[in-house]
Amino acid sequence: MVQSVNIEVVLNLIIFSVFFTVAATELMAASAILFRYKESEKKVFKFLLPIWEITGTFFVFYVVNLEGLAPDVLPLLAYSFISYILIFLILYVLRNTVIVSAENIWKNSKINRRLLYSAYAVVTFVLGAMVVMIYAAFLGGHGLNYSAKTFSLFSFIKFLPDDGFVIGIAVLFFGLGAVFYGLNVNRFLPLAVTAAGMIIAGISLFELGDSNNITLFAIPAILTLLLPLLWIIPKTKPLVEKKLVFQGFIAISVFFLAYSQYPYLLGKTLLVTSILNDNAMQTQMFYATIIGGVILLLLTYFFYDIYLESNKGDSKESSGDVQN
Amino acid sequence: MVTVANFDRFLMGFTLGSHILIVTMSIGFSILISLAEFLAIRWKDPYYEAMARRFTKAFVIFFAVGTASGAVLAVELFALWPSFMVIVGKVDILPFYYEVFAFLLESIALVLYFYYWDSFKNRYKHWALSVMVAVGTVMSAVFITLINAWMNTPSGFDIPYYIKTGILSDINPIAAVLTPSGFYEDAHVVTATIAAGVFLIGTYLAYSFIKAKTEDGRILYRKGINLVAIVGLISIALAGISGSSAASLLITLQPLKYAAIELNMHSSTSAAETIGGLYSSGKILYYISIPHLQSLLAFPLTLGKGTVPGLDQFPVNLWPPLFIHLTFDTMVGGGFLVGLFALYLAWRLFRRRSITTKLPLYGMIVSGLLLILVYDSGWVTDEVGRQPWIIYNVMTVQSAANTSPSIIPLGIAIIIFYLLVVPFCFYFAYRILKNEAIQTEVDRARRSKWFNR
Repeated sequence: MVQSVNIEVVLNLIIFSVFFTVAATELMAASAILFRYKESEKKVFKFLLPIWEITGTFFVFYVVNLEGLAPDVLPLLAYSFISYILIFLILYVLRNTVIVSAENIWKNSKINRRLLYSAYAVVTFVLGAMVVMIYAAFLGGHGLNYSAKTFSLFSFIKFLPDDGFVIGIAVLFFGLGAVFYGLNVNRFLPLAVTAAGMIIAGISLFELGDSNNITLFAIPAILTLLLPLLWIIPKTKPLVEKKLVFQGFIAISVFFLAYSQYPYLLGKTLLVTSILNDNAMQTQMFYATIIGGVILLLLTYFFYDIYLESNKGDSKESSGDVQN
Repeated sequence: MVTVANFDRFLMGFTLGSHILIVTMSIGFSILISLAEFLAIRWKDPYYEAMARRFTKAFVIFFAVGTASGAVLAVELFALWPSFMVIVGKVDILPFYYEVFAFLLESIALVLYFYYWDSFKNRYKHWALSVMVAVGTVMSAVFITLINAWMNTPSGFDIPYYIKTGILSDINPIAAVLTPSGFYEDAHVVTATIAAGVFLIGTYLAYSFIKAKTEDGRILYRKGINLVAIVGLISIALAGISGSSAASLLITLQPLKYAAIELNMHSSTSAAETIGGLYSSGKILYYISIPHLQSLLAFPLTLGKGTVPGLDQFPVNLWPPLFIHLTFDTMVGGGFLVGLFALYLAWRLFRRRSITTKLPLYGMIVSGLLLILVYDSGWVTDEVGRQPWIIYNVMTVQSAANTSPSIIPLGIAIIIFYLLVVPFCFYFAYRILKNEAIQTEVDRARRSKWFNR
């Protein structure tokens, strides 16, 4: 079915994809920290430490864009998920506090650095699960009562594809973590784990009943499987270990996955285009996104330029006194 | 009465109050870091270099917690005040959106500035990042304040039609951004925030100078105190001027708020300034009155010729709580005292006298703490002065609130959590700075290529 595309919605999905991609680097880091701490010290922290502060910024970027795109969704979100939102906020502050403490904790402190990083990893997992859960609830609509503005966790959990989607995403990024951070694992393991996660998440997403264009599933499926597949081959391994290439693959995958649902939400009972903001505001939001987006692209280019330059021939952690 | 709406109000006020404390420090640090690094490069001064590095470490901690508490506020806004945010989303979301880009500029520039300090061959390029951080930080404050200004003087939609029908029409997002009180509020809030943050850092520097055991330490703190004195004087002077203009503007834009903060019972053409005073049964008790001063401050260009509004022009049920007169007095009085102290420091510096003697040092310790009280009093005056409205003359706080009872237990948890996190943030930053030997940092700066050219 051919749909006329609303450019503001597309921009929102792009922002979501970028946010999710940045957040995913933290999810992958969390699994590496929990299961391979020693290796993480060398391979994960040099990327995680500069970037974790940017994840929060992208989160705010997405939330504000959503507020501007569809303000009428806010009461639904506010009333239905108020408990989860408040728990999320506490955990979010805790995450930042714990990681900045881990990063700067002084020698001979009573608190162990590894303990702080592990706490960060656990909190990050929970936060990730909560984001995916709310997203799944908006897609499938299970447990979510649009008119009464309530959410039943029991109804949500009872519907197996909801659980499958959350678990599948977790498994998928657990598998991809080894590729992104170049961990020393059996080279076929990431492919097997990623494929398992993808199958669970993919079938679950289909069963959520919101998808409008399932042929688009092929793009994320191919791109996501390519990552661990290319990692197996020694010649192409360095290519996928390049952070920008990997993140580009993930961002495109997330975008098409999200776009496959367009223009529906809540199991095809809510037409997204019916809740969009006034035209005057959409126009201004569009201009702001384009101008801000260009600035952001320049900053991102600048970031990777310096990141790559500083890592050239020097695998040591940056010299900004990260370790005290 | 403890209703869910009142709890929402308290929770929002509490988290905003905590956030303000952290953000004040962030803004102060961002400006001092940029200045210190510039002086370090320009004068090849290893002490300013060490200072910039030390401040950056503390800044990163405040930034990390500030980012999180900022995100908490962003989410709380729509979680606690969904109806309000629906109007904001439809009329005035642009400043929020612009703020996101300022925030991105700040965070990405800070990451590059902090983590890749020694990767830059050209130090001026590195310094440029500190300017970007400061610009991002200040612009975030500018855009967020624009939202508050819009809440005080709403524009960009047909207000009478909305009040009549509840339907938003004739939406003009740019007109909402250019709200009448925007420039004045921004000018006052930004300068006052810089002053509060810089003086609070001055408190730390003065205390550390007193406790310093090494010569290097004393030199570094002395240079820091000098920097604080100069930036502090400029920012507090601008805060005073912009604050006076913003207060005068209230006569036209929010006359009831003006009458409440000045505790004017009746309108007058030659109004006295009331200092102190409690309102009880239609009378004002325990106050000092200075004839004509209020008129003079309100209409400085006409030497006091003009009419100031009085409370009796408005229905009693729309009056905000009148204790805001006392918070207003605290803000003006405290700010004035710190302003005088900053002038004293400037006079000493101009006469090439040290400002690290006993009086300036203890004065600086007190000033930083006093300015936090001043700053919070100003914020309470502005917010409580708008009550019962969340959007002035358009929507009440009561009608905007999320009344779901599940907010209360989790809200209490957030409050307890903040009570732990905010002091921890200050303590942790202090410990980080304390644990880092100044000698080592200064030596490191001396050894670097840049300082040996």
